[in-house]
Amino acid sequence: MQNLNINNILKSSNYHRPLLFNGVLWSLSFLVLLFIFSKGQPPITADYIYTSVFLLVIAVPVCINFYILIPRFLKQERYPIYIALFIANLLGFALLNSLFFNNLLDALFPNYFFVSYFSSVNIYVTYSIFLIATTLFKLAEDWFYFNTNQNQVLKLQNQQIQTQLTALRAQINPHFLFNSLNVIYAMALEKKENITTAIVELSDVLRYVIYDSDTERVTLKEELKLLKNYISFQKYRGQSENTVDFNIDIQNENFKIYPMLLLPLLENAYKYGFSGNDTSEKIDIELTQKQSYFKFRIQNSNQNIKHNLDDNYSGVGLENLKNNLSLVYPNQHKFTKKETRDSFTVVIEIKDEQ
Amino acid sequence: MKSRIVVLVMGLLLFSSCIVKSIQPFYVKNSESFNEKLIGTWSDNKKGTWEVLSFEEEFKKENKNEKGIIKLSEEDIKAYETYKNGYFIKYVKKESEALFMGIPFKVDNHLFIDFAPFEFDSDDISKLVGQHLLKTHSTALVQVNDDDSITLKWLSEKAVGALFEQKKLRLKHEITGLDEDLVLTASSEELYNFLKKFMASDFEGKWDNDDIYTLKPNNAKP
Repeated sequence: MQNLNINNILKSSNYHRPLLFNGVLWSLSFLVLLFIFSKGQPPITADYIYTSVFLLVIAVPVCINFYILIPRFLKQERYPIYIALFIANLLGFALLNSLFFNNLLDALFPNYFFVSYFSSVNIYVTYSIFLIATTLFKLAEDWFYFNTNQNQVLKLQNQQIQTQLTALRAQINPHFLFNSLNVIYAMALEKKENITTAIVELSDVLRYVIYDSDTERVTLKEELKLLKNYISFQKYRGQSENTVDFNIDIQNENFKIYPMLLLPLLENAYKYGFSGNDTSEKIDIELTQKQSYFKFRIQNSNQNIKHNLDDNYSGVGLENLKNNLSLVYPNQHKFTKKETRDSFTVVIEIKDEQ
Repeated sequence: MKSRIVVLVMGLLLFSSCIVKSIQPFYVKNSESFNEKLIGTWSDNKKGTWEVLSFEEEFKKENKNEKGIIKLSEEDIKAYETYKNGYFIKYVKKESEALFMGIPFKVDNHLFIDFAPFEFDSDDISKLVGQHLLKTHSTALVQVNDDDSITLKWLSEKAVGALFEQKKLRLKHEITGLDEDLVLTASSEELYNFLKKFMASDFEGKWDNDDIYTLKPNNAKP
């Protein structure tokens, strides 16, 4: 299965919009400062000029903060150094402003009189407020995109899981169908009369496998019915229903589990648990559910070793099952496989608070 | 002193037509610059007479007792510290008299005087009028000429008003009263900075001829 690379997807869809961010930031700053400088009166030409030049000058420490101090120190969690450099940046440029800003304005605009704007103290206060406010604005923007990216990651991870599950189910269905068709094929060869009944029963099983199981969860009741139908279907292969010891201890038959978890194990038990000659061969199934605890244990004789059979199909089914469990019940399940010369046992335990 | 208020009002009217008035003084403390050359009596080109006295000298004369010891109250000390670099200025025209406190100060290399009505007595109906008046400040550039005459160029409402109209000046002010007088409400620091820029700028109508006085010393040789 192809694994989606979330980081690459996020890099290719970078949500940061520096032009938009700076456009909004400086437009808002211009409006606020213009309102402050014009002291609530209708702004005059001198106010527009003063505000524009003031913004150009204060943009230098703000950009140093945005593009050097924050990424190199604040985001690297080097807080003391960041605070020290932030204050130095603030005080340094505020001092330069108090010393040279009016001279700069007078040189650039000799016929304009910029008088009632700032005292020296106010410049330090204004620089402090402006730099802190813009820092918070920047962090808010970063948080916004971080949050957006997080949501995007979660969506992609969810999509990835769904893709994996769909792919795994797509592997199960033909696997099961292939085995079942082998059964029908065998019945047809033997010209058994009840082949039509078998086909109807198989279609019931397939309906569940293909349609009804295509949900997040099914009830234990439904899954049990599937297992019983399957066992019933297997009689057409020559196995008596008595060859299965099915011990059920369920507290709540509406307990929900991931669909199609158990059938692959039953399939394998049938396929590799019977040699066809030994009538004493049996499948032992134990299904327990108490509150949030669920256990499924299945044991069959090990014909693989006894008769040196090909283990490929069995391996595929179990591997799919393990993948499903990891995706659907992360850190909530236990999968145990025990193989001896005589027997093959698989145990699934799930702890799922519902 | 009933006539004092009348004199004061008339004296203010002499200037109030065009000069810029301010709530706060135009100087800052460290810009004060006493100039002895202004001491004396002067006649201007508008048939007015000026008598300029040193505040410090007059203060000392008034507060000396017979033994020559100066006795000062806290208020006296405060007034002395505030105005010690200033002048008493008496302006007389057509038998009308106006008294000002003048503080000389430097804006770069330019000498200015900050004018403010000093004191007046009033009673009855004139007292009520006096209580409506605010002692605002005005300022004039002082130029000492080669012939020992002095030119006083008042900061005119015409020039400053034009800057406001042209939207080139941001300086705290109000337009107030029935006559829509321009009154500057900026701080002294802001006013002083404005004067610095004003003197450094070059634009038409900077000085209004109506507000330019040329003072010649009365004891000058013809």
